[in-house]
Amino acid sequence: MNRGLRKQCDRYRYDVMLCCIPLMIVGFYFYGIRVLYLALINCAVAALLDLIVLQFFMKHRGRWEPSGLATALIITMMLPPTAPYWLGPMGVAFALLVAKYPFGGAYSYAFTPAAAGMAFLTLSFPSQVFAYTTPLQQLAVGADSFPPATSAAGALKLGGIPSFGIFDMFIGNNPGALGTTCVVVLLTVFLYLAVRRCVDVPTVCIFFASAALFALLFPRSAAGPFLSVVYEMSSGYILFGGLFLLCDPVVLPKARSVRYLYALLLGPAAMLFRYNGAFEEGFCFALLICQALLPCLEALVRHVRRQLANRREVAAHE
Amino acid sequence: MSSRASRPGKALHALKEWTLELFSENPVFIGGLSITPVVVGATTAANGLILGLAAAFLMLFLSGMCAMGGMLFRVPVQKGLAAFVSAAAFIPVGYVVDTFLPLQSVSLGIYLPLLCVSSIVVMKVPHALAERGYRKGFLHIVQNILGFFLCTLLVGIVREWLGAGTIFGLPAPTLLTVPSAAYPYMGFIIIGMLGAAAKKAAAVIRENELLDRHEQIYTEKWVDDSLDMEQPDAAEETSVAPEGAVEEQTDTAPLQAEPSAGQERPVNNQ
Repeated sequence: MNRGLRKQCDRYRYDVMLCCIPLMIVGFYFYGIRVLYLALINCAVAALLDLIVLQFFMKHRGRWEPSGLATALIITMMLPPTAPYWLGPMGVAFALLVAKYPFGGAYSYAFTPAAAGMAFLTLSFPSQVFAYTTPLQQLAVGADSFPPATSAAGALKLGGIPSFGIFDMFIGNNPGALGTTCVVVLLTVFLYLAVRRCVDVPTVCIFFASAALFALLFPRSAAGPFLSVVYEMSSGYILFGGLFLLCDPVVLPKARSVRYLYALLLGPAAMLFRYNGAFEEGFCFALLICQALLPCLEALVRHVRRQLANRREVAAHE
Repeated sequence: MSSRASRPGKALHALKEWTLELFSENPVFIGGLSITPVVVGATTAANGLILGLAAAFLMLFLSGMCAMGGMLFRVPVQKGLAAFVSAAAFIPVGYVVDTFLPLQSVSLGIYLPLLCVSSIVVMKVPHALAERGYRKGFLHIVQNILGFFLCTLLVGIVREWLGAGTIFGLPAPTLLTVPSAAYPYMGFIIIGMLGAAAKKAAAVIRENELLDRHEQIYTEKWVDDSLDMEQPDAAEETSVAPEGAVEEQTDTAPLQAEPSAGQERPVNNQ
């Protein structure tokens, strides 16, 4: 990867880390200082792993880059505030040691490390990953168990309607992962990332639109199709994943048509995993599968372009 | 050192190469389809052991059949018949596992009989005997058997240790267990990691051997060169050579004029 692209990747990661700060402030407001400890521990583990791998395994002793810390913060934001302290480090370790370094490091992985880490945690420890609690309580730093609560995505999975209003969902006053509940902050983050050109706005909009269309056509709740769309889009990892995971510049295809096809495929895939999967949220699995299909999508687009170019040549000759 | 290596040295070198290829040419690490039983079946140490032993029995039986059938059938026909022969050989294996190890039989499911049509059994055995001859082909098959056995056992041990904190059912020290270690995705990851580690270890050992060999060659050349440089002094100190004698000329030794009759050879006082 050339220097310009590396700078672009690093800038994206610094912006992602910056955008996690307001989400952490919201989490701190709703759940207390435990949120900050979770983030600190995950970041410390990521920094330590980066240091060990750079010192002992990377031949060219590459310089430090922020992808490890960005991965740690993204994983922290996708975990519940009641997560045990060992859960985040396990996800971070998996993300870096299995999804990032074996594929070449910070600028050449095939799958978003944070998505791989969350998929691993979801498969291995589902009861801890989806153990949410009611907001606006100061969680004890050393406690192991907390009063359980059902998230909006969990209620939709059970076929019901979330028990909190739309306003509570917008301001984040509902059980859920740390960084995925406050829609207002997420939309502000979207604006910031769009202005900074860290996210490809058409790609993100196509993803949201395709997911919303799926929710409109196949509503899960009895609240009606439009409310169902609002509930589906503002619960779970759809918003957060679309902003922080979808537009990873290392994995995102360069060609626009492939990007749009990828986003168009990911929306229904994420909703299908939600509807039919074993867990209340399956965005990470859908993302990994779509990223695995990217070479096929690129080949398909190249083939279609070649066919169209041949036809134009034939028409021009005639 | 003489240019011809001794026979024991050659045999030792061949044995070392053969042992290294157990890791770098391991059929599980380099063959995609043959890893299915390992990925899905080797979820515990006991499962890995049974899979390895079953594959060893099938491959040995098949190699014997192929050696006998080599005179009767051509290789493509042998490969086609290999699946039938290994299926017949599997009957006693299946009976023993079902009778004496029913839990493992249920745990392994279809992945134990799937060994009958695994490419390392059906394709590699006739191919090895046809390509390399009986002696070398049989050694290659034994290498594949050992490689597959080691791999399935190791993967089974790692997955049982990670998933349940035990090895062969006995508690093993562990910090934390990962319940999803029994899932296929973890099998792929563990095999990938073990394969990378094995190939790296083999590459490091080969590189060290190469460095040692180069060092040995350069040391010998340096010694030879120093001896050649000392030879002119040694030649000046010797007495007059007898008539008719032919002096041996080395590559670097300067040409010495033979003293004529009555002329004394100058003495080097150094």
